[in-house]
Amino acid sequence: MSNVRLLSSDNEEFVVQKEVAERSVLIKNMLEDVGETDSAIPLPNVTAKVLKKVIEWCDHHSSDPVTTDETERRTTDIDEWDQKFMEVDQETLFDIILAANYLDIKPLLDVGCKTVANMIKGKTAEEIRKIFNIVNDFTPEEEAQIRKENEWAEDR
Amino acid sequence: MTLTNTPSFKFFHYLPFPSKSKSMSNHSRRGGHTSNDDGNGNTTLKPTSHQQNNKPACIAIVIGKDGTPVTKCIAPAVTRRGANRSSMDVYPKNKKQRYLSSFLLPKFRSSRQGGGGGGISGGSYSSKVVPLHNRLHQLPSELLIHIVTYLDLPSVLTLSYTSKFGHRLCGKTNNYLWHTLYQTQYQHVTNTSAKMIQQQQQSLFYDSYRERHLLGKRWETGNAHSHYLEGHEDSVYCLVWINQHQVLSGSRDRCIKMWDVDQHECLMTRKQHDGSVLCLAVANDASFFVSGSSDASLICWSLPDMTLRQRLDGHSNGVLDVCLVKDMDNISSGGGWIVSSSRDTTVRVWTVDDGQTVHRLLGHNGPVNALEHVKHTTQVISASGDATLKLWEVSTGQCLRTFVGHQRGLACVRYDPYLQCIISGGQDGKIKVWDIKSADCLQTMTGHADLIRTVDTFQGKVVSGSYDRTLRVWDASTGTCLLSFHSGHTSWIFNTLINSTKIIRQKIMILDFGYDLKSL
Repeated sequence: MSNVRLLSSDNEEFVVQKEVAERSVLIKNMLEDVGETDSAIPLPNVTAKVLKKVIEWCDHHSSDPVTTDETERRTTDIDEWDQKFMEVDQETLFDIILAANYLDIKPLLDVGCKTVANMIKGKTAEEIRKIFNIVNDFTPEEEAQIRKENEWAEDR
Repeated sequence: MTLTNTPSFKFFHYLPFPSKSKSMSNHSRRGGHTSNDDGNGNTTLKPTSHQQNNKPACIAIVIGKDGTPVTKCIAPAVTRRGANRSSMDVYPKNKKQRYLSSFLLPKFRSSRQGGGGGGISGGSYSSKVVPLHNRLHQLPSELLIHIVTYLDLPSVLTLSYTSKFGHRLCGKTNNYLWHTLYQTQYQHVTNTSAKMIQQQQQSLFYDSYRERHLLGKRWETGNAHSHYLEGHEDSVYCLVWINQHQVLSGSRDRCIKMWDVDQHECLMTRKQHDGSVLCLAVANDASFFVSGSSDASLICWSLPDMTLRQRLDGHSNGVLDVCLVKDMDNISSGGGWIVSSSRDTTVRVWTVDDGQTVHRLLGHNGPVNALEHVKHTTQVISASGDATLKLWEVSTGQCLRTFVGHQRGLACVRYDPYLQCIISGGQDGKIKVWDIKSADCLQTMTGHADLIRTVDTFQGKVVSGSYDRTLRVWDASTGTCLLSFHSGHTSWIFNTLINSTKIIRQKIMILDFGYDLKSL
């Protein structure tokens, strides 16, 4: 099994098994374009700290089958390992999402987005503001107006 | 209210079994004690287990002082929640996930306190002095939308209350987001008419979503506006859509009437049959329709003016059902067949062009009570008093398959192109869902206490009307009963029609679930 060298934005090098690195469609395409190479692949959008997490995820999921079925991807729950994996601070969580998007690792992107969605689900507006440090820039009238607009969705 | 549509004994005779036969008297005697039938230990005792957990919403139709019927939900549906709204509400809110999000909260706070110099005491800070940027804002919009598609509806809306940013993301003006949500949630119903899609392009997807959501809720709770169409002097036996706004009705008073469903008024009346009008079928392009009567004849009529085109004679007894089949090989010629079934136990195939009989389909041992065309094919299904269904190839007159499983005579059959299934009902009070290819019975839905006289289907929803005077709405794929309407009818229900927003049933009552929803 051949290895691939990845270079983070802060110049830290990681040596990774090819099949692990190829969970990233970006890297997979690069390797196909370049062919066998000795030089490290630069990833200017990912820091070493985040890349380490991403590699950890790819390593654990290296033998997962690739699902192309959109609805199946949407409806599968986050498994226990992924839930633990995502128990990180918010900075890191968003960094992982951005990295997964940049590296084109759809299943990791899904897990990240689902994790954020779960942080929002079932919360009040005030709770959501607290969690994400969102500043309420509505006047009370504006907020009342918007809530009125959406009255139809209330379960009655 | 005094004019109830109590059918004559004569008509009842058409339904179950060949008269005078021994089995007939047997069955009709049993018919009086249907509730005791369960004791026989036959398949009646096999209601699928989830049906027992799930009780349909029980809807009463109450007649107000001014004579207008109103629906009232007596008992809401008892269902496993996930069944109807599965696509968006993806995750169970289990403890682990709660733990996860609350776990994130303190971590974040500590990092913020670090950034703020540690001098902020909880609650007293003003939003201006918080230096830490909001990472959510910084995600590219396609990722934000990706996240939002994993939310349930209340959460999407709550997010839009948080700030102007949240409102730009989740508010009604983000047409792209609502389009995405609409497609994920209502994927299965988006293959609707081109007209509707055009309408949607002109309006906001937020509005389309809202209307779909409200319509779904009305179907769940039985919230419908109901109206009677009054004009026939006797029982109404058959109803058929001409287009979204018009229906035809045939009655024991020998008349055929055309109605405007939206205005609730009768547009035209025709009387050419010498007996009750028992069945009607309208051509796909609405250029003509055919009626069948207990006088053993069929009449072909032009539309929209309802002028008599041709009379088809040949059956030796009442014509119980009729359907139209296009000739797939010669579509351009406008040719095709009229297929009729009769109390004389035969099914006849006639040409539309000159009204000649091309085939007589023999094989049933009882009156053939119902026919159904299998969409996009030249096949029809017949349902007979001999308790079997048969699938026929119209062009050759061959019987392709026989569906055996019902224990007593059949009264009605429908094909659902969405599920590619046949749905049948009859004297045993059960609705069966059949695989058209294998002839396997996929579901048996029990609940009606008497003969099921009519079924109709729309995108997996089945409506059934029974001599037990109730009307039920079912989910054909799960076999669960969603709604049960009571007391709107003082007599047997003969015929019912459904589309995505309306149930029409006889006497003639319209249950309109789509009132005030313009885009549907």
